[in-house]
This record gives sequence, C-alpha cells and structure tokens, in this order.
Amino acid sequence: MLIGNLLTLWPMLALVTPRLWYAVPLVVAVSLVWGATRHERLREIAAHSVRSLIWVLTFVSIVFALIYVSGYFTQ
Amino acid sequence: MRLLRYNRVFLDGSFELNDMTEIVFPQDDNESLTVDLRNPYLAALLAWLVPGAGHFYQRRRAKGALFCICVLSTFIFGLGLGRGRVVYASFGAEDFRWQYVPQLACGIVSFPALAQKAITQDGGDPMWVLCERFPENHPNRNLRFTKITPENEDQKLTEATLKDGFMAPPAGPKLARGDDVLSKWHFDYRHDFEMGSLFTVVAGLLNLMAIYDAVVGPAIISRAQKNRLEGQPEDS
Repeated sequence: MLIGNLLTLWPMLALVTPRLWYAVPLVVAVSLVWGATRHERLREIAAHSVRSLIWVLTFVSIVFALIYVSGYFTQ
Repeated sequence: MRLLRYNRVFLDGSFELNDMTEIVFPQDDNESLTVDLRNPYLAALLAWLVPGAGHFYQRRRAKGALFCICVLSTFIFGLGLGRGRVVYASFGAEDFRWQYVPQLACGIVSFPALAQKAITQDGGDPMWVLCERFPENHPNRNLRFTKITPENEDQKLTEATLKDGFMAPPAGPKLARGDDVLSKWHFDYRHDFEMGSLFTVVAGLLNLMAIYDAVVGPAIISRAQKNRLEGQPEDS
C-alpha cells in the first residue's frame, strides 16, 4: 500500500524536476541486470526485476522527497 | 581448461567437489535447473569484450541478449548524453579520469578511448573530430577554448586549432584555474555531461555483474535455503 502510494508520487516528482526522468532508464537497466544475476529463467528474472524496480524507485523517491522538503528549511 | 567446481546447491545443504562446469539448481517445483558454464574463463573474457557474448558462448542466449541490450544501451545512451566526450582515457595528475576504469569494463566499445589517448598524447590531432576550438593563445581571451562556429569563424587566425575528438581527451593545456577545454565541456553540456559519465560508469559496473554471472552462474537461492537464512523450518 505504502509502496503503491509512493509510486504514484513518482510522476508528480518528475514533473517538479524533469531531470528525475534520467533515473528511469538507469533503474530499469540496473533492475533487469540485477534480476538476471539472481535467476536463470526469464519469467523469474522479470518478477525479480519488477520487485527491484519498485524498491529502488521507492528508495529514490523517499530520498528525493526528504532533500526537496529540507530545501524549504535552508532558504 | 576445466574449472574445479562443486554442485553448490543441494536440498540437504551439502556440497561435493566435481571436475565439471555444470551447476544443478534444485527448483521449488522439484525440477532441477542445469546451467552449463562450458569454459568459464573464456566466457568471462568474451563477456568482457562484448557484453552478453559470454552467455551466448554458454548457449544462455536469452540472458546474453538481456545483458547485451541493457549494458550497451546504457553505455550508448550515456555516451550520447555526453556528446561522445564522456568516455576518454586520461591519467595525468591534472586530469585523472577515474571514470574510465569502470567504463573500460564495457569492453570493446570503450577501446577507442585508448587509441585516442595514444594518438593525442604527443600533441597530435584525434581521429573522428567532433568540433574545433580556438587555441589557448588566441588574442581574444573570451574566445580561448571556445567552440568555432560559422558565426565566429572569421576570428580564426590560424589553422592550429584545438580539436574535440570522439572519445578523445580534452585538447590543449589543463589549467589549474579551470578555464580549459574540460571546463568548456562542463559548461556547454551542463548536467548532461555528468549524467553521461554516470550512465557509462554504471554500464561498466553492470557488465562486471554479467561477467561474474558468466563465471559462476546465477546466485539462485532455493526456498529451503531462504527459509534456513530466515531461521524458519526448511519445508515451510
């Protein structure tokens, strides 16, 4: 539930900072390669990659949101 | 040459040494998965030279294609972001390009940088010239190291210009105060230069993972092992 809510935040964050889109192809490639080093069958690789993708995007979103919000306190 | 290996995954947790390159993974559906690594050293060399080639040699074609697409597309995208300038070999004290070390892990696609380094280290012009710049001794200080365009070409007083080359190190002197060709690259391409460096470095690191997979096979964790690691009964 929490992860789902955070993922819906991603397009909003990316609208605020368009450069955030650079992270998407990078995270997709990393997730696929990471999944491929953990499995041999494509279906299992795909499932693992999706889980990794969600984890990384969630983590990046949280860090981005923290840094973005902290910017208001340093002005 | 055959690698001394062991069947590292058994349901009872034991292992035994065998002179073989096949790894048998018991699966949760009671079907075993056999991975034939053939000659792992040759596979590693191929995987380094051309991302995915080691897996194609091992007849693991789907994974080979996946590694090839992921690594090469990341590398090429990064190289494009940096306008062909983010992959270059330079190990001088004034411009130590540490990023080239992980970029070199992408194999043959990063080799042109070594050729460009060899060609330009004695002051020669690089191959595959991308653009020309005004030299460092141009009388107009504001034009030094600046890109020569049709608009300012009439200011070109000499044919001895600085040339940006594809995967070539920045031409001209490296100045401590930072006003040189490298600083112009950062100024001209801004965050794209940094992102291009990042993408190409990550591509190299991803290929290291692919090389590791070609040598020792996938790090499959069976359900029994996972339960054991989590301190739960193995058959739960």
